Amino acid sequence: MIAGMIARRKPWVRGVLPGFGLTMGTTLLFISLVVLLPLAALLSQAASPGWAEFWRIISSERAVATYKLTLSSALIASIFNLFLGLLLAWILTRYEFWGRGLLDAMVDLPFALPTAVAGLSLTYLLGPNGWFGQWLQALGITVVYTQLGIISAMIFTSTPFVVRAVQPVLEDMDTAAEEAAASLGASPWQIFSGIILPLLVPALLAGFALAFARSLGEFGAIIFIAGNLPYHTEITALLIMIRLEEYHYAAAAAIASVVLAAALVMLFVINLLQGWAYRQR
Amino acid sequence: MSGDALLSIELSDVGKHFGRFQVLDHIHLRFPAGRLSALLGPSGSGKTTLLRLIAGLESPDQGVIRFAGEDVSHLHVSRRQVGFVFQHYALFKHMTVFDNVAYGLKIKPWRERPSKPVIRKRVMALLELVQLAWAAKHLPAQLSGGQRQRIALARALAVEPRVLLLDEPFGALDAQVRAQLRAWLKQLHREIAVTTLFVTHDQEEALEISDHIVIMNQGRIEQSGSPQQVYDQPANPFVCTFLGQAHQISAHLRQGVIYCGDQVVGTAAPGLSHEGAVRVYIRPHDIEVLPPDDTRSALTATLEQIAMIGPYVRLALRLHATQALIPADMTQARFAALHIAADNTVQLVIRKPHVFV
Repeated sequence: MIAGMIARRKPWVRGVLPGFGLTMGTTLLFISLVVLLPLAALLSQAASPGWAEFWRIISSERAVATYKLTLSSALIASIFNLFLGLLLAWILTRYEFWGRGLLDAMVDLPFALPTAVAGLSLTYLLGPNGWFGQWLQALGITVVYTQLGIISAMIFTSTPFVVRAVQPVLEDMDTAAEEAAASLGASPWQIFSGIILPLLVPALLAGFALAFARSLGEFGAIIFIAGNLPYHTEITALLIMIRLEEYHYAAAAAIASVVLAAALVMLFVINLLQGWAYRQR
Repeated sequence: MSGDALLSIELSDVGKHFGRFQVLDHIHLRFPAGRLSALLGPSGSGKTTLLRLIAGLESPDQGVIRFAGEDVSHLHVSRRQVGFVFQHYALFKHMTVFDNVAYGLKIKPWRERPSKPVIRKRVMALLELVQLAWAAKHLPAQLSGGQRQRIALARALAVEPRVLLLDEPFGALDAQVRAQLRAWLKQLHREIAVTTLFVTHDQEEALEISDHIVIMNQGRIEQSGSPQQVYDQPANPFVCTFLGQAHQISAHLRQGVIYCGDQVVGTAAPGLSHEGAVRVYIRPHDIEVLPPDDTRSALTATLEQIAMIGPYVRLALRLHATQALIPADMTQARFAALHIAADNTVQLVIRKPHVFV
């Protein structure tokens, strides 16, 4: 990718604006400092106790339980957000209504809010005596201190990703194609599923990937609502935190590297899917 | 293509406004069955809105739209059986050309849906008709604008529409392709003979290919009739100046004779009994220029400028009576035969003055 960019901009073909060397150099420096260097430190720290110890740490029963919980919760939350995000983006682009600007701004609130605040308010709302919690309790549903709580916190913090990925695509969409389909006899559902949805697939995938990655790493919002019971409601990020507090840096780094690998695999798969979806056009 | 009897479109007292803006104002119209009709007007005249009302893409605030006598005013677009072609093609860009054309057939409820081989046969026949069978497996993005518009037309025809509606179909194409497609559309219409309406702001396009022209301005119908009719007998100054060039001179009418100052321009149409000031519109090619020594005319002018424009010559003439400057067109040969030069005085015969009170 970087090699391609450099090759495309041959030094003897001067553009209108100078400064490729300076901007590219700064970019590479910061990427190295902010992304690559910490990752390298993490991996070297994780590898320090040796392979057998590394494997023992990351495959311990407690660690595996956190992976399962974190991954399944993030998956469920992201799938939920796929629908919620599409719905929100749809409302914001397709209809004129009073307060649309306000709603549009509120979508970003989970970005702006400190996640601890989000966690606290969710715990309060969904707790056994909270506004929603008391009704759910009456129905026999307990949210706080269960996986349901973790999922709700993840949903809250990752909703904007899907909305902001889909919204611009919906805004740019030519409504004439929908009118053409209608004039050919298509029902509203046929228009949505056959004409609109296929064009949204790449954006939905991108939003899903970002929401999933965010949910994997979410910490602040979850620890208040999860209960943090080992083997049951303990997420991977919390286990890393616990290992750190025990001054067991190698174990923390080892578990963190698993999360890192999961996030990378996820991004890679989504990128492949997106490439495939673009080629379908 | 359509096996049904040909169908006419009637609009009675149709009105539409967007907010406070009256887009269409009490429209009464009838489009003849099986003909190719043009809706012609400047931008903002309401012609596209009218077409969208007929398609069912907009609903009228008042009035009734009928297809062959049947009231369709409240029929949803998907039930109206209209083929609609958009200015910017509106193809489904994630589908191949084949799937685009097949779309209307594939989405039919299974009771009415033709079998796969039948769909295939019909789509390929349509692609042959629009001369794009070779592109069946291509995506729309791989085709040129003219080709895309032909695909859009094939897609609209696939469901055997009762009427075909085209919204500035060639508006986004360059001049050469536009001219080709015009001729091709005229030919195609002769083959399929579906009642067809197309919207255009290009008067030449409307005059060239339509059987029937409706001229609109500011939400009203200015005139409707055959191309010959609207061109030769414009109902009002707007139609006269919108269809081709026409220049106004002020004149007055006395006992059926048109005077410009004290010089005679010609005689008015027999029906006009007005006395006094009138506006006379003259087309550049309706002016016959005679040498100064000719005595057939009393209307004199000074030749101010000569411009050679391809095959013809345009003269700028200053009328002696009113000092108005009007253009006259003639062939190169005719101009050479006149032996006139700039600043000469010439005599004019106006073949067809259009007089409006």
